Formats: sequence, C-alpha cells, structure tokens
Amino acid sequence: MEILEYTFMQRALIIGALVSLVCPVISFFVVNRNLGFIGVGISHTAFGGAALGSFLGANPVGVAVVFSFTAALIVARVSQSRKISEDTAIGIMFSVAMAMGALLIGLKKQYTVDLFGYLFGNILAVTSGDIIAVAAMGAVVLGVVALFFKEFIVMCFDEEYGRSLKLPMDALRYALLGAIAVTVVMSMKVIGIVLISALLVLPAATARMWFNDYRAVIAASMVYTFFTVIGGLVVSYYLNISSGASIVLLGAAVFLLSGAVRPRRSRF
Amino acid sequence: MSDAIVKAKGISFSYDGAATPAIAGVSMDVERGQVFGMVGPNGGGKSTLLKLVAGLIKPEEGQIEFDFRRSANGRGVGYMPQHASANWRFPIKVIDVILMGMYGELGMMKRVGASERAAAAEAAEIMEVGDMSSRHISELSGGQRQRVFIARALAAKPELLLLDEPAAGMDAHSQDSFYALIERLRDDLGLTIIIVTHDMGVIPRVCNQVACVNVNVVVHDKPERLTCPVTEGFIGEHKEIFLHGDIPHRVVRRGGEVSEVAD
Ligand SMILES: Nc1ncnc2c1ncn2[C@@H]1O[C@H](COP(=O)(O)OP(=O)(O)OP(=O)(O)O)[C@@H](O)[C@H]1O
Ligand SMILES: [Mg+2]
Repeated sequence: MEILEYTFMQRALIIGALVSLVCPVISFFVVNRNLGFIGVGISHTAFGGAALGSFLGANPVGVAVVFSFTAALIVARVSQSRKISEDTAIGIMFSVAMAMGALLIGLKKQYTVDLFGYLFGNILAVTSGDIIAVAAMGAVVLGVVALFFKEFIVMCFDEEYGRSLKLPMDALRYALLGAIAVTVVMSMKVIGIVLISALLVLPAATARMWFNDYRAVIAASMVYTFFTVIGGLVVSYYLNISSGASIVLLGAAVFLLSGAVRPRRSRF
Repeated sequence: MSDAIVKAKGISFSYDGAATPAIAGVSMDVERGQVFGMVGPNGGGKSTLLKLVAGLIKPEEGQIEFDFRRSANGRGVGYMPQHASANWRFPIKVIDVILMGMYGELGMMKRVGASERAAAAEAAEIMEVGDMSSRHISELSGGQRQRVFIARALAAKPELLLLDEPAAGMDAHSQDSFYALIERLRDDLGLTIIIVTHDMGVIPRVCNQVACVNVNVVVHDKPERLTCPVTEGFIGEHKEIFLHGDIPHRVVRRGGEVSEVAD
C-alpha cells in the first residue's frame, strides 16, 4: 500500500496506535468521573505550555507536560476546597493559558504554523523521537492505571465507600488527574489540543451504550479508538485534511451511528 | 457488661465551620455479639457517630477502642452508609460491587483472586442477592440495592457491622425478613451489629442495647422493657430527645460525662 511507504505516515500510524491504547482507558475514567471539562481545561493549559516552550526555543512538549501537570495538580487540590469549584478553577487556568499562547503567537509570527499543529494536530511533524516520547508517556499512564485499577474503580463508583475502606482516595485523585495530563500531551501531535477532549470522552461514551460492565466498556473503547484513530489518519491522508479533524469527525459519526442503532435498554 | 467490642471514651466531633458539635462527649460500650440500635431525631448525629466508629472521620476529643478477636490486621469493620453515594451510571455488575468490600483487606496493587470471589459469592447468598450477581447495579430495586451494600459490608467477614438505616425504603414484608436476617447474622455468624433506625417497633424485637443519640448519647441496656406500655414510657421519659433538636438537659449536660441510664 502506497500509504505505508511514506515514513511520516508510518510514524503517524505507530503514534496513532499508541494513542489508541491509552486514550480509551483514560476516557473510561474521564466519562465516569465527569471530568470532561477538566480534560478540556488541562489540554488548553498544555497549549500555553507548548506556546511558551516554542517561544523560548525549549522543547514545547516538555513545557506542555509541566503546564498540564500543574493544571491537574491545581484541580485535584481545589476539588477538596469548599470555596472554589473545580469548574471555576479550570475556567480561569484554561483562559489564562490560552491568552498567554495567543500573546506569544503574536510576538513571534514564525512559530504560528508550529503552534497551529499543536492545536489541531499535525502528523507531518511527527519525529522518531516523538514516538519514543509518546511510548514512554503511554507506558507511564497504563502502568499507573494497571497498578491501581481496582482502587480507581472504587473511586469512580463510590468514593465515600473507598474512604471507609481506608483507601487513599485523595492520592488516587491526584494520580488520575496526572494520568489525564500526560495522556493529553502524548496525544497532542496526532490530534491536537483543541480536539483531544474528543478522545477523552467519545470512546467510553460510545462503548457505554453497549455494555454494562467496566471491563467490557474498556475493551470496547479500545476497539473503537483504534479504528477511529487509524481510520481518521488514513482518511486524512487520502483527502489531504487535518488528521485531528478527521479522527474527531469519524469518531463522532461512529458515536452517533452507535446511538442510533444501540439496543434499547435502560442506561440508568 | 464486660465484653465490649467497641469502647467510645468521651468522643466529640464538629464538622468544619459548624457552630455546635455534632457529637459531644460521648462514651458508650457496644457489647460483643449483640445488636446495638441507634435512634434519635434527624440531625441528631447518628450517622456521624457511625462514621466515627467506621473511622471515616476522626474524633477531635476522646478515643474509640476496638477489641477484635478474629481480624488480625484490625480491619474488623464492615460499613454500610446511609445514603449510598454511588454513581449509578457506572458500568458495574452486582458481584463486582460486593467484591469491593474486600479491597481494603486485599490491599493496594493486589489482584482479586478465587478466594475473594468465593467470599463475595457467599456474602451475596447470605443477603439473598446471589441470583442477581451479574445484573447491573442500577437494574435493582432500592431494597435490593440495600441488600447488595450490606453484602459488600459483609464480604470481608467483619466482626462488627455498621448499618445506617438499612431498612429505610423496604416494604413491611422485606423489613420482617431483613430483621430476621440481622438476628441470624448475630446468632449464626456471631457478628456485632450497630444499626441506625427510625423504626421504634424493631428496637425491642432485635436490639440488645439501644442508644438514644442527640449530640449526646444515652445507652439503654434493656430495650426489651420498652415493649408496649413501656415503649410509651421510654419515649415519654426521654421525650426531649425525640421531639426537639435540643439537648435533653434533664438527662445529660452538653459536653457532659458518661451517661448510661440504668433502667
Ligand atoms: N458532611 C457534613 N458537613 C457538615 N455538617 C454535617 C455533615 N453531615 C452532617 N452534618 C451535621 O451534623 C449533624 C448530625 O448529622 P447526622 O447526619 O449525623 O444526623 P443523623 O442523626 O444521622 O440524622 P438522620 O436521622 O437525618 O439521618 C447535623 O446537624 C448535620 O447538619
Ligand atoms: Mg443519618
């Protein structure tokens, strides 16, 4: 196949496959803990980091990780406060980071293309170093989830009960938000910061329509993500359109189709 | 009155920002192998006291001592909260909910094995929800969900079971069989059960001790004397506890000492 002859396409498909191993798992927790908006906030904060990194000539992905991680820590901290809601904190951080990104883009015009890639995904820019970085970040995220899987399940179902079992629910919340932050950054080049929230929500939301058991939902999310990410990359190649946009639109189409044909059973 | 499984010694607790304590200067002994009822007005502090015993919140003053016989690692408590804070949308089957009861014993980073599954299945059978094991939790009725949460509390084979209004929302028939079950848990499994209830009728039937909780606590060791005409007297005697939100000054002073009324 012609598509596989290009190095950039090979790299894109490898990164796409790595992302579709990790995003569906994190998506499961994002959907079941109602962290969708927090995911949006963390990813947009990461953009501020990428813009700053690019502006300073540092590694944009590295600075983005620092930013998204800090955002995740602040959200985890604020969720224990009674005065400020997580929503409010995210609303503030998100817009400040975006404002900073916009300011830096304005100051250095030549970085615009580069930063546009972080916003909407640019598979042409994927390097072999990126693949290693994405694989390493993915391994960290999946490792954390695998180690604390049953504790995360308790946290999603009944956090209060988890406390009565003396499970460290606060530490687990930090771990989960940290994992979301890393997932956001690792997906940045393939799908982009603006569009990543789709991969944090659509996989588990689609799979949930079909299954009532968490293992099945996670497995189905993985299948869904693999096909929409790889499918989206292939479509973007042939139609010469943005990879992030084609992944999200294909994913949304599958979601809607799934909603139209799903078995009629009570979901509540 | 010597073999206490729980001894609360002068415990007090206030929620953050609250002007008055939810629990003040409470001392009580819960006898082993008995059913210990807790009654009192809404907001009286029953759930707070249960959370203190469960270790969910820490007393600001005083301490709670446990004397477990079987549990080596000191986790002898099974707890069923009043309002399940559960996420009903979460994709989880009944048996997996019950399995959660063992996650504390099992420890972090350990996988569920055959023995945990067997214990969960056994708890499901005891609570008569075994045939619903593979259904989604939200497909159960309110009373059935209550049973699942009790099974979850039982799964780790605790010595002390804490049930916060377990029979709320059950029909009369289910309540009858539920209380029969509570007595079986006590008599056959040797469990100590602390049960919060608003159902005064059940007190003389199943409880060996009763605590009236309204910030302070008064423990009655002979609830069987509360039957029929005496029940009236019981409520009459501590009328303030049931009818007002205030502390019954006649019985206990605020922040007062141990207050066991010898009937
Ligand atoms: N999480 C909380 N934060 C602040 N105050 C609380 C909290 N939970 C309970 N309270 C207060 O503590 C007091 C005792 O509440 P608690 O829930 O223990 O009462 P209860 O006896 O269980 O009542 P009910 O019969 O309605 O269940 C009440 O005044 C209540 O308003
Ligand atoms: Mg209560």
